[in-house]
Amino acid sequence: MSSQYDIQVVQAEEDPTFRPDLVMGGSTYKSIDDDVAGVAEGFLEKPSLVWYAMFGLSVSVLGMLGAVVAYLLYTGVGIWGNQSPVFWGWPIVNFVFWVGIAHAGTLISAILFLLKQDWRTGINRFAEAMTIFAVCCAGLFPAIHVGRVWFVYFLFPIPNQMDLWPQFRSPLLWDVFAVSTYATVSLLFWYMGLIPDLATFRDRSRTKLRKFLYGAFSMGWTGSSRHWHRYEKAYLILAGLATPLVLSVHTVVSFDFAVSQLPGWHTTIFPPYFVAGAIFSGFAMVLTLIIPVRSIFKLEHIVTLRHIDVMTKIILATGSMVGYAYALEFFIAWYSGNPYEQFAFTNRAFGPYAWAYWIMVSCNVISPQLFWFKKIRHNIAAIWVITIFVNIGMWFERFVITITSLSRDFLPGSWGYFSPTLFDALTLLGSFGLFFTLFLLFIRFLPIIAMAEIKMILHKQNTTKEHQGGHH
Amino acid sequence: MQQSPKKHWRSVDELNETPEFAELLGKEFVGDDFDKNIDEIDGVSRRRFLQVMGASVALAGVASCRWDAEEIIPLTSRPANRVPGKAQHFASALEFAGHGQGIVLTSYDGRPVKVEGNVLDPNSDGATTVFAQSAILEMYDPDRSRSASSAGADVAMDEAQRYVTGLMEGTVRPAGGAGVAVLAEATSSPTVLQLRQRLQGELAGLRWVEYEPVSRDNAIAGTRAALGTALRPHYDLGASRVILSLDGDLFSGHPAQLRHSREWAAGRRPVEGVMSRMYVAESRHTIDGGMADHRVPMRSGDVGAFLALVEALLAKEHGMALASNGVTMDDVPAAGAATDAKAREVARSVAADLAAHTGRSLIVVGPNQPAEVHARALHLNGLLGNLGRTVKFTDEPAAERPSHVQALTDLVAAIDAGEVSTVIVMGSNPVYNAPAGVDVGAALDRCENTLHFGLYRDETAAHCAWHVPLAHPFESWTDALGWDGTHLIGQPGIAPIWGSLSNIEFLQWMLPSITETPKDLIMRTAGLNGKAWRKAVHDGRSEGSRLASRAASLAAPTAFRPTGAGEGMEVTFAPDTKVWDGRYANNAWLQELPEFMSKLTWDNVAMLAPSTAERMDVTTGDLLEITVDGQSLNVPAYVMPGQARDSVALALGYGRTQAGVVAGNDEVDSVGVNVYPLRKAGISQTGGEVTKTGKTFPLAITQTHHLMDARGMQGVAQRLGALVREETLEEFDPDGHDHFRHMVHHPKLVSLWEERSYDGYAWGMSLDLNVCNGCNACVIACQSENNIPVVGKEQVMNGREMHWMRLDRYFAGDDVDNPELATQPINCQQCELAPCEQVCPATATVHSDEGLNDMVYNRCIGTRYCGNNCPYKVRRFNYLNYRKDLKDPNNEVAKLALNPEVTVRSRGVMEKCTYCTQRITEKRIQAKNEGRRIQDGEVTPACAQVCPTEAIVFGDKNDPDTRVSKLHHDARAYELLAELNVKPRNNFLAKIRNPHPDLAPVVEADDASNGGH
Repeated sequence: MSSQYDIQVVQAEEDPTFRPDLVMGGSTYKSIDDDVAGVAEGFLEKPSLVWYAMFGLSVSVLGMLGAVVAYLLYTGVGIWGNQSPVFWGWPIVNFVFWVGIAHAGTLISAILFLLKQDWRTGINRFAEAMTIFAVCCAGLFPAIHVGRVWFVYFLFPIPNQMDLWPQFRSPLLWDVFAVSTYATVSLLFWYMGLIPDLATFRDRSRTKLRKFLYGAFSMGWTGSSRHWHRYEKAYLILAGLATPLVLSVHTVVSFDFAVSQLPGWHTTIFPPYFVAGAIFSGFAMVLTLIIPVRSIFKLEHIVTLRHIDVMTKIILATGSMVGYAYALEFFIAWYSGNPYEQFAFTNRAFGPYAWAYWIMVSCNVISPQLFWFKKIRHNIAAIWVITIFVNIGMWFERFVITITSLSRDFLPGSWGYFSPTLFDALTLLGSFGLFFTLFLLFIRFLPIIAMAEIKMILHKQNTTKEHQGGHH
Repeated sequence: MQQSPKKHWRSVDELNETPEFAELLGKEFVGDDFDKNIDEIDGVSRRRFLQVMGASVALAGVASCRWDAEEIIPLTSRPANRVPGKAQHFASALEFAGHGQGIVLTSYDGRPVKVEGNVLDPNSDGATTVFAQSAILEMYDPDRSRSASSAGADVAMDEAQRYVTGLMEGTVRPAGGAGVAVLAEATSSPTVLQLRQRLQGELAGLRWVEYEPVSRDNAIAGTRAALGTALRPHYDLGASRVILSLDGDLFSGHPAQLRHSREWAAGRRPVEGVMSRMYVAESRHTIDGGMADHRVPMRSGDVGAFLALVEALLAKEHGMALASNGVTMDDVPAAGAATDAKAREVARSVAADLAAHTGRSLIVVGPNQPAEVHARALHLNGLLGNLGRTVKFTDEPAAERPSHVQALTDLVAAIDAGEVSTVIVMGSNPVYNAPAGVDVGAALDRCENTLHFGLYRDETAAHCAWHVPLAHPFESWTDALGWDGTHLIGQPGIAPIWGSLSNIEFLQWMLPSITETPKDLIMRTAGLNGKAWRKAVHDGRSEGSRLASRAASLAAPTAFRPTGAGEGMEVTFAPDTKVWDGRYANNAWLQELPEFMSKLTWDNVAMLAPSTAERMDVTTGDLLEITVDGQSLNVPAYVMPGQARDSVALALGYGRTQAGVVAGNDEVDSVGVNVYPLRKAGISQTGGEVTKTGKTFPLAITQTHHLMDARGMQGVAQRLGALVREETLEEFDPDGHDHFRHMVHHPKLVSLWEERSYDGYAWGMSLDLNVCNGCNACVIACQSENNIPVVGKEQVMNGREMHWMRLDRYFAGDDVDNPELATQPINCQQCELAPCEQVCPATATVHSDEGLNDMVYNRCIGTRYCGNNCPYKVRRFNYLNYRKDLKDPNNEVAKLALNPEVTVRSRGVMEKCTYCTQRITEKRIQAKNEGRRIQDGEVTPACAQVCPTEAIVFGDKNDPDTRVSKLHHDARAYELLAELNVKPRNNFLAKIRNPHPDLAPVVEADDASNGGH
């Protein structure tokens, strides 16, 4: 079901002389405040049953995750299917999956900001929030998947009486730094961006508690020219800082695999391939989430079809990169002449895990190719389905990389076959519970669209129109 | 990588891509239900590992009985030779199915924790079998009987003694022993024999019945037939250049298996130009067959015909015929697997080799073959001039007794006839292991007085009114005769844990007039005293004692016309290589030990040849119904390359119902299937019917956990030549330098890090693939030495077995029904540039300055990254608390089996082979105190110490004179996966096969092409 704004965008695209607005529907500063803050404020006046139902479900799943984790801590990681030779199973697959999802946020906030891509404003808050929540889910897995969780602090370089440090050669340690840095910077960045909007919320608050809390978190923002000046500088600096992180996090995550010597892991293509895959999955997840949200909360004039169209193009591009990487892996395996490498890859595609491999290829390589067609790019339902496929495919990509390579390495005498347990599935499901719980709280209590930035766009848009004499 | 000229696979399912296989592949998560609802799968109804050493709650109260209230008084002076926490070593003895083995117990603070071989025992030369290794666990088994009992209720030992005395005085003696039978397991103990003779002397009517379900009666009958008198043959495998083993058990099960292995290995030293050739014809895999240069699978019933064929060929082509009743080619059956074209081809080479090596060849026959085959083999050995050379004879102590089956059958008949009403069972478990049709349980139930004397309250104890617990050999003074007759003296390593009695003490209950201590009785038997006795106790054997050798003269041969097994399916029975006849079934180490060929744990199976399985449309795990004479059993199938066609191999020893919580009791399902009900008296092979039931059964197999696809097989085939490097003797150049190392080509290797140098010691290991026969002794020795937990069937099915040493078994060759075999022992290679160390974020695995790849358990948080990055996959992870069982108060006693020198690992921690670092440390301290370097051979890891073929050699690589240094420079030496530049400290010595030139496969030239990593 296309909204009137979507139809306008589609119509506008037929007219080469005309470019649709990024903010549509004749929005004003006031109307934007009303539309966005209204999402959160709406809950006050009319509790949404849908929200409560969804939140109840998410919290239940989160509670289930808590129970599973408690059982895990009590019993041991043996409740999962991990074995020998597949020492890493679903927990690591889930970790990489969530870290990948976490990529879109910072990419949109930082890189697109630096590149002055104005369209990012419609979705950046949303994507950043998703990033933070995905990092939370990702961070959970490495912590709980170790055998002795109570000693997980051994991973941190804490000065101690034994003068014993972590092993700095281990990519897992690099991971600790990369992911925690990324989480910190993403959180700061997100929070920085929230400050003017939190102040708006504060100003619109009608209860004392709300006023106090929003007031506290908006840190005394008044919107003064000095505030704006500092704010913009700081935001620019943070964007600059975050930009390399977008590339570094998943590069480092890929090192977990690439630095090892396991056939199927030990490949130099991993860093760019992982980063492309991460952006791919991140954008897919943003779309999966924002498509229903913008429809439910009537935000089609702010998150327009144009935004979605741009994102599908990015998915198409990164999906093709991922496909290219898959192909190149095979080529290099063949070209290397290394029989173990050759086996690792043909075994992926034609061995006992061929089913997983072909799910991955169908979802990641074939399905985004549909975005070549404008009809598909303008079909919201189709886009949503494809992004779900991409999410599934990207989970399977990590499954294929992690598990097929481990299950058959060098000595056939130690080969095995991994079978997940019920607890593997529950842990994965539980992480979605965590994600959606945080996400639903975000919708309810925080501005889901960067209002201040939209207003800047609106300003720019209006100014441009004035100069051109206006169209409508 | 070297392209192997042969096609390799690991299980038949790989080779035949069956539709079921394809279907399985199509399913997500093959082989396991997504939700792991194991409870629904028949046969693994619970977490077996939790119970492995736990016992029933009913027994829990008894646990405290062992430790009486006592006052602790500190010693004012230290007793001689006792330093708290320091190991002491005592020679002792152990019987295996009635034959003695000299052993040495390692003991800490008065508790034995480890068994080693006794180098002074000529039968073992310091090696041990899996059975001897696991005897420690048996001694500390919480399921052992802890007290006497009457009608199922525990009673004090005094009361039991009063009962026995009363029985003897009131019933037995007045009747002169009439109506009384002692049903005993075989023992070689001369002291027990003397007591028995005394008892029989006093009580003329007493029947002494010796019964063993697995015996060498056929061999005894055969030698009696051939020599006129039953003598015991002793084989000299070292002197034999050509060996023909027919269904033989030279290396597995034979009482002299350790000496056989040692001597055979001494005859397989290609670098020194010593290389014997071994031919084996057998129906099921044995270690003999695994080591053969030529193995001909044939039904057990056909083996005699094969021997006839060899004899006929000797006569026809080499003019060597027996003086009378010889077999000619006309007498050989024209058809049948034993004499088909392929068998004839092999037989022709056998005959040629035998004829060319008169006096230096050997024909041996296994205990499952009928007496006439044994007799004929002796005649042929005589014809070949081997008697007195490779086959020597001594007296046979068991010559006079009736066959075991006969003795038991007669006893049951006597009970049925009312001639016997009092039965005292000593150690034997005939209710479980009697042949089909001999109902010992019912017979015992009919008896007036029954008493069972044994280690466990087993199936037989359940049919006896009284039970008296037997002391473990390590708890009491025992003696035994080795196969060669060496008198072994077994001193106790610990006081009886449950106050139980030794055989000698129990017989003294029946002979109250003998008041000497068991030790004095043994001393008198040995005829030693004073210093000589003390030396004998110290050495574990009375020096110079052995059976008298006898010159043998062959009687005239009788006619030998074996016809072969004919058509139809054959069912064969043999003792299991892990639990033997069932007596070791409650030993969790043995249950979890991967069977040497099938790599199966926690079950027995019906092994079928691939072609037979294909005909019957059966795959591994299908449940079969096997019917012999109207008796049926359901046994899971295992498709075994190399199994004879139309022959089903069953292993005895499973399906125990009163063994304990490991193997099965009232509360725990039996492990495996009891196949004794199918086994007719005195027969090891029989016709039978085998049908599919349509059901399946989950099996815990440590190698090829699941079906393998064509792609996987291809991968194995491609790399196997590089992993197990081998040549034939003809191809092999003993002077070739580093030839095997260079079989895999790789670019110049550059180290990422600065390599360490080693000023002190640099430990290394060498593993000889040429003589490793897969006997598994190293696996159990390692488990015992290093406190390796048992995890249970369910965990093994999930690939979580914990053995630090594993034996990879590979098949090679194009014929699935007759493949070549290779066994490769894999433990931690202690890489110089260890990939595990580089990826551990917690610094929990680090390099020692002696080159060991140390595992710091305290520091390990369990990321398992090291396991992923280990190319040999030797690391084992404690996914769960596999030591939970030790928390059970009833299992206090099981803790005593733990080696105090080795940490017991918690859950969440990675572990792996340490080269027995505790042993190195012990010697390092000793050497340092004495101001010297550790000498070569001073430190021996557990695996190397038990190895009967000395395939594993350990030592200091820094010293060029050590054995390991020399072996690392051997012409056969190579490193596994050297192309990864991990620089392993282990070197393998390539396998050299010695095929007969006429039979040697045409091997294409090495297609050594592209490099490795």
